[in-house]
Amino acid sequence: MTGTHDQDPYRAELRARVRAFVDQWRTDRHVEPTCDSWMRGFDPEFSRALAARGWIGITWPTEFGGAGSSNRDRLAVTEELLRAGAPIAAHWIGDRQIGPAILRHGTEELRKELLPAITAGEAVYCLGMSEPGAGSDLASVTTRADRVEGGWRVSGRKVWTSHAHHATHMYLLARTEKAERKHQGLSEFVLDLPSEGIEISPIRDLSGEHHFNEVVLDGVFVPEHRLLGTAGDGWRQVVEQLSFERGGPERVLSTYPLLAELIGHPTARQPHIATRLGGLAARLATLRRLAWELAGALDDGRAPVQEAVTLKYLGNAFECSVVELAREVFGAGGGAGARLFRGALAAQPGFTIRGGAADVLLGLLAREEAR
Amino acid sequence: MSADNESALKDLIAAIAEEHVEPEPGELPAVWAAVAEAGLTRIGVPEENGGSDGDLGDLLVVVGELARHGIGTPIVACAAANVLLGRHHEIDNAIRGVAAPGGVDRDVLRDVPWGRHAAEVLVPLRDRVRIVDVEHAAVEEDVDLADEPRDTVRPDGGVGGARLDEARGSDLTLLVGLLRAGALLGTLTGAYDLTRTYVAEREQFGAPLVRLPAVATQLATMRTAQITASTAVRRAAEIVDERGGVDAGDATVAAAVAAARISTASAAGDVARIAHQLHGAMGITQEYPLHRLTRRLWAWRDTDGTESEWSARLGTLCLDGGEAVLWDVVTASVPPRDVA
Repeated sequence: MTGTHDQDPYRAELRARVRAFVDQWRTDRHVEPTCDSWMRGFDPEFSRALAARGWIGITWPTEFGGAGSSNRDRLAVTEELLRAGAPIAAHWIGDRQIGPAILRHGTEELRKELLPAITAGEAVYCLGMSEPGAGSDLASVTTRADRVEGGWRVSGRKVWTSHAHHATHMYLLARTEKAERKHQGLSEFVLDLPSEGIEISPIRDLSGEHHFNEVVLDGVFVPEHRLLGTAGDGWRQVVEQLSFERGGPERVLSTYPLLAELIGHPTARQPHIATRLGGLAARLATLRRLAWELAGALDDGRAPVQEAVTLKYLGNAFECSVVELAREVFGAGGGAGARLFRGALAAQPGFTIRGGAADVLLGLLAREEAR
Repeated sequence: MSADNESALKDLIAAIAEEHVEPEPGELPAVWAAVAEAGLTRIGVPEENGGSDGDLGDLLVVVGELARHGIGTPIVACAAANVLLGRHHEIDNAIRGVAAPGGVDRDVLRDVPWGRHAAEVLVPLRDRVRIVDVEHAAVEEDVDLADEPRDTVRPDGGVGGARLDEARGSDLTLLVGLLRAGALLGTLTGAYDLTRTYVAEREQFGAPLVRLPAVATQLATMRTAQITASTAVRRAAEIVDERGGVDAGDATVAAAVAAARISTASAAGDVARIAHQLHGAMGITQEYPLHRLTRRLWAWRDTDGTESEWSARLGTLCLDGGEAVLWDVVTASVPPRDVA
């Protein structure tokens, strides 16, 4: 067998510590687990408490507040948090995505400026990517950043920007040059929120919840040093960012708290439900294993792009299947389980859209197949 | 298992596949003799009991490669029976069968794969295994969708037979399940490979089929099913290896094998459906080799226990144990450490 064996005592202990911490937090504050907690569970106090234990930016160098741990260590932490349906949205984007992007492409100055606040649980990041005319086709962004003295001046409109109304920082993808091909001439920036010229207004989702926003930028000044990486090379950088983003356990576990609730419910003991539950358990076993192999590949210095796409595609389908099974148990009833079910059902259409729509992901895999 | 072993075994089976001719319904393929003589049915048996070099990982390679080449043989049951018997008994090249746990009555064993060709059939009972001597039994012959024997075996005087006290029936069922998962993985990988080549070569509308986005997307879907199946088998094999063998009393092992068996069966259905769709009418002919793979996928996914039976068993394990078992035992990525 290949040497993927993992009985690392540090990791087992880390997992146990995260578990115990979340249990305690829940008991002390009477917090119920929620589905989709990495998107909807916004609690800066919880994020700061995690930060105090060193669990944000855990893979980053110690000089920025990280622990220099492996991606497998990080997976142990994130899995346990998602399992518990804990409120992790406040630090999630900084921890998962923008922090690593700054580590990869940022100058030493930018790293020193931005990373310690993320690992301290103080910075809240949101993503200024999508626009009204640039959804799945992200390279079509029209938000412009024009060179001015000492930096850039940005104008445009971003949508689906989750938690912009709480955020301290916004990642921004903007066009810095008019190029022949739309994939050229894009650049990445990090902005402070609030900033002069930025207006944020809510976009309520179908259940009435407010996490999405529209962000209008009208001549916003961004200082030179907040350019991330190379001007004009933004597409390559953002694609890299998105590929890493796709391969995490949150693409599998968004509805896990509902599955946990279901297992404890007496109605689930009916044979037809037990059979379907067995099928789901088999899928979950494989998906968690895939996520673990992916984390291992990152630790080994590989960039497992195809595997990440596959994990997200299959993981999102699993999340939706959990909701379908929960329907059998909670579809007609009331109570805590039914509340969890209804929340998951209303959130479900987003699972297979955000971070790359399932259809687009399948297209990416198909292109690989057709080569 | 070493990489050298793996590649040597693959070469050996590729050579066997060159010689393979599809037999008449219910018959053994002629290459079976070569499979047995190469010692491939005695992998995992200690050397002093007639075993060949190799471990369970090697056995999975053998089972998977034979299946990938579309060769149907009694290897799954025979190798599983030999591993269990071989712990305490000398093993020869005889064919041994294993009765499906759901097909055992007091006097009759139903749907025994390759029953007519077997010297003995092992019958998994809960805490022990019975051995039925087929020479002293009436055999009613039938075949499954893949034209492989599924026979009814009626032992003279009922399923008394010799007892194998040192083995549990549930261990045997589990080992058969793991090897069956390996066979399904091999078969669906073969069907995927064949389909990928076909749509790249076959031209319609002036271009290879795979240039049609809908075709490429279906092929990608097939690939995700293949990745699921191979990941599940890799995980199960590693967990079994880490935990020291197929032991049904170890819930981690039992769950990992069940998950692999369910995942491969489920992927088998998806792969067979898409493989035929993408092959068009070409894949439906007897002449074209696809049916050698798809008929086995359809038959094997419910052999030695149906996909639903395996699912119900795993679901019940989760319900009995609750969320902690689902998370820490059934779906853990790697074998959990034993708490000292």
